[in-house]
Amino acid sequence: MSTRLRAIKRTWKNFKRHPLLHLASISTISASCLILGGFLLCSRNFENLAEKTNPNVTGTVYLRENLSEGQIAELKERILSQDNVMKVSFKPKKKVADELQIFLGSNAGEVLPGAELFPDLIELELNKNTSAQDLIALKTVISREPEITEVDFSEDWLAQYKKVRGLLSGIGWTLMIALVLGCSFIIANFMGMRHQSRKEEIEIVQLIGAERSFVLTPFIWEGLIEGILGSGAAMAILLIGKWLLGDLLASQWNAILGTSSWLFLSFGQMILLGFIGITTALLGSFTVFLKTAERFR
Amino acid sequence: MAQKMVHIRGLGVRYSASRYALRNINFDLDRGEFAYITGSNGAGKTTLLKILFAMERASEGNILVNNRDVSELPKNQVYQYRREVGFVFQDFKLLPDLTIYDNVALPLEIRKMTPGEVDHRVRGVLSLVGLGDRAHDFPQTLSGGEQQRVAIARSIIGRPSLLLADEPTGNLDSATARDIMSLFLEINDMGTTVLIATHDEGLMDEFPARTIRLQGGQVVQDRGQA
Repeated sequence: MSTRLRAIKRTWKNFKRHPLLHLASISTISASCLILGGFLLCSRNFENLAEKTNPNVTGTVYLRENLSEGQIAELKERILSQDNVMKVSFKPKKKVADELQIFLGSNAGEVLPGAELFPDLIELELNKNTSAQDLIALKTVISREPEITEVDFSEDWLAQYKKVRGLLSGIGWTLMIALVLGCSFIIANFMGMRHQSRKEEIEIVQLIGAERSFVLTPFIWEGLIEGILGSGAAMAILLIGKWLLGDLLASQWNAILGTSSWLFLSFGQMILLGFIGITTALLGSFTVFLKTAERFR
Repeated sequence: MAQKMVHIRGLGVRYSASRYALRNINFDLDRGEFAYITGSNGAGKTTLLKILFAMERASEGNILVNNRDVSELPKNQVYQYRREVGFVFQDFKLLPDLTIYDNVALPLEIRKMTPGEVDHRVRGVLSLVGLGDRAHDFPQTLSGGEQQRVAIARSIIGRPSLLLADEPTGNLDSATARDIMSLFLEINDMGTTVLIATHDEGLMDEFPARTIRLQGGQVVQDRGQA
């Protein structure tokens, strides 16, 4: 019988010998992964929603009267060459008046006066990640153009939006740190529990002549299996939770949030959770081994 | 020298500059000899056995067991050495969730013996200690004396040349203790060198053998030396 096969057989025996201990280990790892996974899931969906509700940053540039088509084209080029400007489109005063008429519809008491009252304008579409400061700087530069009478950007609203998002992000990170600390506490207890329960066994097998690999190998296998099962169980619970609860909430809040379903963990996040689960379990195994085995060598 | 199983010269175990657990211990044990280490509590009996089993390191002196220098034994060879020496503990040190059979088989599994070989040897040794019919019971279902028999079976299944026992009858009533001593003698008759640490004078009188008496970490008497 090969050494590896013997180790797997002993691991299987150990699982049968200590079913409750292994169940407790798997549950602990699962609970830690569930907490972290739950946070990652919320974080991913929050990011997704934030992305969806991220406002298109736009601006309107009002032009002086009687500009030639050449001047307008040249001005568009100059504006487009500025940082963060993604798109520019010219809108003549006639179109502005028509759109306003359509917007007011039947609420308008009477037909709007002639288009002459409105200026020609250029609408700007900016990079979504433009900050309020960038917007103010851009506004200052564009305002200096002689063909322009006024520039209107929604910089105050944008600044408020960014502030709220920054605050939420800060809360998220604080929560993440608290969760990591909480999980560390759970894991430390888990390691202590494993150490207590296996200490005697390690001591005895070393005293009857077991070499290090005989003691350590089943521990590694056990850690690996516990880690895979623990993190797998956490992901399964999260998936079921997303199906049962998440989609129900999403359908109710669809109108407000603009989404009818929640995202599950990304592939990278699933790998991260699996890694955390397996590492935790292996760390537990190694800690028990090192704390005990060295004393009886 | 080749006939000596244990050869100890100038052995000392020092915990601090002025505090010794053992001091200038000198004695030999011949192959196949049966001997007691005795003395009051704290005399150094257990420390001496632990040194011989490589559970503790000597501060000074030479210890040869079966021509192997235990005082210089590298850490990565300790496990091999322990396969040549059996040790019976006062508290048995059995794994409670393994059957008697599995507890006794453990030293052979460690040696990677085939299941057939393991089965043959385990059945033989369990029958020697009189527990052939209890192989599939768990330790907690056995009496103290029976548990000690299992511990002895486990310690001799690897056919050690030296068997050490630390107060093996300390937790047993006198009738059971006599049974266990008879078992040690039987093992000794098969050629194994046996060294037992005990402070049970009655038992030593009943089963007379060489007695090395320790006091304050020093040998004060070596009676009945072969």
